[in-house]
Amino acid sequence: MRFFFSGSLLATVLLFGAGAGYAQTPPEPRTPPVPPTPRVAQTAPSFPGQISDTELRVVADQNVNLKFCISEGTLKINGWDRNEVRIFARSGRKFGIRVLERSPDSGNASWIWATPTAIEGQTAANRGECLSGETIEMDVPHGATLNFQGRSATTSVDSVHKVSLKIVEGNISLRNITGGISATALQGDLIVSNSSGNVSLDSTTGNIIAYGVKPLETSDLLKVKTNSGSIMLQRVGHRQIEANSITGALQFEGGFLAGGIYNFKTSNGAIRMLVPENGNCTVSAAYGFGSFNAAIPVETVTENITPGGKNVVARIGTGELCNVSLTTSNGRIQIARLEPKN
Amino acid sequence: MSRNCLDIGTIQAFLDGETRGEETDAISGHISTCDACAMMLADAEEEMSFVMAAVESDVNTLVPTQRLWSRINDAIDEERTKVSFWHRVYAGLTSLMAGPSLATAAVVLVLFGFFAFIFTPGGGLDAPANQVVAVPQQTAAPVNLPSQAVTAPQNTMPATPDIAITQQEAMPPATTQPKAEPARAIQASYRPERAARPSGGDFRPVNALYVPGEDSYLNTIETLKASYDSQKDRVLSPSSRVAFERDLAVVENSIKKMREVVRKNPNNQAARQVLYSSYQDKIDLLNSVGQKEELLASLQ
Repeated sequence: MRFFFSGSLLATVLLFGAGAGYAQTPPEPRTPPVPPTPRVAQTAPSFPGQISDTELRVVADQNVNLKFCISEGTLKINGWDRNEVRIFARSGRKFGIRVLERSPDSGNASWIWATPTAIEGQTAANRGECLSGETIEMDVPHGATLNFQGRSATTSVDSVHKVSLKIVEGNISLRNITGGISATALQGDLIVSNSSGNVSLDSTTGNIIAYGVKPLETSDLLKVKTNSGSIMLQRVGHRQIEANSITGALQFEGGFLAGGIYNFKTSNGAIRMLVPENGNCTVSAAYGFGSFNAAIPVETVTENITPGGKNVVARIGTGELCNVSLTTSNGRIQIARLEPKN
Repeated sequence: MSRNCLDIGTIQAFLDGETRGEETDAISGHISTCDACAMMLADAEEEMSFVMAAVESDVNTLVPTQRLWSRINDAIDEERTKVSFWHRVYAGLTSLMAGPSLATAAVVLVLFGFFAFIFTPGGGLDAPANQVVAVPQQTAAPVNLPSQAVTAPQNTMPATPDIAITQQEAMPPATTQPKAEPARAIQASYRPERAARPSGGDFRPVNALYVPGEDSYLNTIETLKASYDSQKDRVLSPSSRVAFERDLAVVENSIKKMREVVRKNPNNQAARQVLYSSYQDKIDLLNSVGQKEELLASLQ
């Protein structure tokens, strides 16, 4: 009997131990999860030892031209009073500054190209031409002209003469650009303030805001276009304005100038004009299935209301000094009074 | 198919707007209750659409002025009245001649045909020019037309087929697209808009249903669309593509709605302006994909 209990106890312990052992058996080894491929820009293949902080300077002409390409990172460009270009990349690829041309008078660099440097194992093909880094800072003379492209970069430029840029992805902020802007942000917002010259702003999916923008010459054009974003223009001094959005709304706030030609067009958004009521402009509104409403005194010259297509020509004041064309398919057109600010 | 079913000639006449008010109502009523005739009508309509598509470029090349259309429409009405009269005469003669031999009837018919051939051009066609000029003028006509196209029909107003021929001759040299059978094309080019066809037979030539320059927009869009189809998978990310398709749908919806409006009232300048604007939006939209690919390629 004693053996029976002892045997039972032993069997129970063994079974429990076996069960416990089975329960602790690790599951079938699975293929270890593949770590996600590090996101590396296609143009910037990673090489050991390549990532570092880099700072370079070069003496440059006041009107220096700077060209470069950025694959990813946050880009900050500032104008300063020195005749010098400084480029600093934090945690980025090593790069160099190539002087493509020098000023015959001063001998300073007048055309600069910032490009990654080759390291061992790289060829020209896989080296790429685009800078990258966590943050890229540039200080350039106020008279500098910048020409660059980028893949994924949040960009801000301040106090330079002229900017021409195209960014695939990322927001763009431009301030105090004195000599003109040509900016394209395929996926990102575009904000321009206190700038002058010929301005062309183009976005695919982003919003566009421009305020305090004025022309350098009378013929300078402000051209703003976005597919699915909204457009807001405030205190704009250009006499020729073309603003076009497809599915976004459009707002203009400011006075119409003598000799101005203003074209605002949206397919499916509203057009809202905030203008002073003492202006002199002729407004031509064409809209399909929307509406037209003027909250300031206007004199209707012609009005052709038919189902699906309406055309209203109205005068603000005498209507002699400028022409405004407003076109929308499904949106609402509204002219409201701009309250004078104290 | 029941015994009362319409023959193809009647259906074709119905499509061409050659039937009179009561007859049109009767045909419409029959078609609404007879599946077989409705099928025949659909087939004829489809065939006509095919012909229309083949000659669209020629048809769209020019749109005569409203003044010219007024004259043409009046001439067509006049000619239709004349044709109806002959039709009645013909019906009376045939009923009278039902008894005599086939040869006699054939001779009569040949003689009738001969006289009809002789006298038809001298009837409505040789009407005094001032009678045509007296047509009330309408305002705001589309003017993308050489002067010769406007002045061509002033002296004589030809019969229906000749009108189309004259009009085609007045157009600039045709494009390189192959032409379909001219007779069918002429017939198709005067197909009235069915939905808007009043019982009185006042229809608008199909040329007026198209907006001048629309075909160039369509050609451009077709080219860009083909390019977009080949690029979209490698250029647009899923989220971008959703946004793009949404924008495209919005624009296409605008185009569709404005096209309907313009087709109903070609003189609606506002609708035209919005339609052009929508077409341009679509072009810009499709073009943006190509620009993106170009930018991405430059960053390689």
